[in-house]
Amino acid sequence: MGERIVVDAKGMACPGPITKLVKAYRKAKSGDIIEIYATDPGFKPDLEAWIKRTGNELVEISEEGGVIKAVIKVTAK
Amino acid sequence: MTERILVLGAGPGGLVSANLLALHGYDVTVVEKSEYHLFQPGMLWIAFQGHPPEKYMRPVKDLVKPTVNLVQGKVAEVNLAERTVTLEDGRRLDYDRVIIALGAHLDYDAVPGHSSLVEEFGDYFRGADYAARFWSHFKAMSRGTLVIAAADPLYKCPPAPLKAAFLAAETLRRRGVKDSVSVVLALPFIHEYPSETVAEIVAPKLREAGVEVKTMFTVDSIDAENRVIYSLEGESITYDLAAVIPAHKGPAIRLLPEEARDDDGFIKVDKYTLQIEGYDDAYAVGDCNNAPTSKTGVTAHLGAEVVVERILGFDSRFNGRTNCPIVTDGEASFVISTYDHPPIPVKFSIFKRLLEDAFIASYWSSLRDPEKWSPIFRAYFEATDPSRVGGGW
Amino acid sequence: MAERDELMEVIDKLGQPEVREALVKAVDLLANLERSGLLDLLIALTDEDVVKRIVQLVMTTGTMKLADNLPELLDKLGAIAATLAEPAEPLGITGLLESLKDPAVARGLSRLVTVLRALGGD
Repeated sequence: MGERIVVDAKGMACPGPITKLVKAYRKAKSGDIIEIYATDPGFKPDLEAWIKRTGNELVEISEEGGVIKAVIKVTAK
Repeated sequence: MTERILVLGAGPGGLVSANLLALHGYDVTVVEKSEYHLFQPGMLWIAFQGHPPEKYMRPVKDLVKPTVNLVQGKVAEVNLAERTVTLEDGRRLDYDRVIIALGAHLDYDAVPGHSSLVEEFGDYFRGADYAARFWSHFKAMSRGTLVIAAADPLYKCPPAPLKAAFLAAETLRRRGVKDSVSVVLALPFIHEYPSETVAEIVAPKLREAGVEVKTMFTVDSIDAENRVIYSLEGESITYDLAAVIPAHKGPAIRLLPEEARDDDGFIKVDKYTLQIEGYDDAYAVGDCNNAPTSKTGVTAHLGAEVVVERILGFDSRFNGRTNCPIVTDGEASFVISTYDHPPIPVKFSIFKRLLEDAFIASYWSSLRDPEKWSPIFRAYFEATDPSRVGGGW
Repeated sequence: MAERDELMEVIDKLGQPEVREALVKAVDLLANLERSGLLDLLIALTDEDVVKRIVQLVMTTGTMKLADNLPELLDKLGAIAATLAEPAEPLGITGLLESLKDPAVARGLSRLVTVLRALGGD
């Protein structure tokens, strides 16, 4: 079982959320879960591009009350 | 008794703070470890166009007003609760107010192999000598691959690697070797720039300049022996010459209490007042703080003005304004944003290049006599405020 | 010591004939400016408050945009000026409607409407 890393990037404008994700990803190990919260509407397409490039697994992406929640399983490290 | 203000660091933020406060009769002391102040963007011109380093350096003593005390020394510890600063040689300084303007710490150990790379080739971040070293390699390059990359998405002057690529391409073209040297710009962002608005403006310029862009490439390790850079995202590039922007951290000092810093060591401030959280007699200006804006000389300069006005009793607030220049062959654009407004579309033009030339020409004078330049800068920043030119400029 | 070196540097410079000639000319220029009273005006222009007022006058959102688009603007003005040398035929309303079939005229009209919109806006 990997670790669960929670990243709060709410209120951060572009490129904040992806910057935070990259920082968390650098520290993560294979099997870890990264849970990230963001409010920047540009985060969704950016995240999709990032997932496609890195080959990690997007377990969940949802939006509630303007907050985007994404759950990523680290599989490419 | 006259209020004693300690200013730590003689970069743009420290010099503007100290020189403005000196005008108002405070007892101002600046602590700086170097004898010389370096105009940091100059490193791009030293490294990629062979400018002499002296052009971008001035003795710190010539940049402070006569009434400012200058202490040469390296800050070891700042104790916010006790209001003391200790230098590495053991000297202890007390203060009534402190302005920390120590800049960011460049961490060449965050990425394996990075220190070997920078020792071999130099770069355009570590110092004027390293920039000169880079030029000594770059000027002799006639074939192969030049890689310009970054170890982390957070670094000083967001357009720096783009400027590096434009300047490098220009030099290679002038030397007639552009076709045999490929310039690869590897960026840790999703697009050619963190902001998509800016990315759309620079992308065609990069194509025009013959720069190959690789996005989502955050340097994870460098194999200096076999000349390969590996990315966090799982790719690799082979290089003949490379400059990698190091990871940036908060200043390498002991700061008490430890809670005054975030995970990366940046000093936690109120983004509008630049006051250190929990201390009404301590401020952090420029790259060393965690304000959510770009780490650039302009934000340090504007932040310093706000801090000085607050010390004088005005309710000034920093709006996070950036004005990062992107320079191509003969033209320039600026990345203009505030806390409330993401970067606006700013097209490349000759006029903006002239403005940038004027900003650079006025640099030394604007540090020593900021009060003379304030009205001019203020008018410029107001005229180009995103709320006024939101549709673009 | 460093100050002495700097002073020596200045004295060395004075040894160069072109530097001496330039200095003589500069002194002549200053004397002319003084006689005409322009020197006093120039000194007044460097006053902080005066600088502030001049800057407020010339550095506005409008002038920033104007200066930025100066090459395009001058191109268009130059093209318009060149047409002034050609004889102009009187044009009636039918002729006007007819000329709208020319895409360049139609585009020009569209620009004129944009100009009108900018003129009428806040």
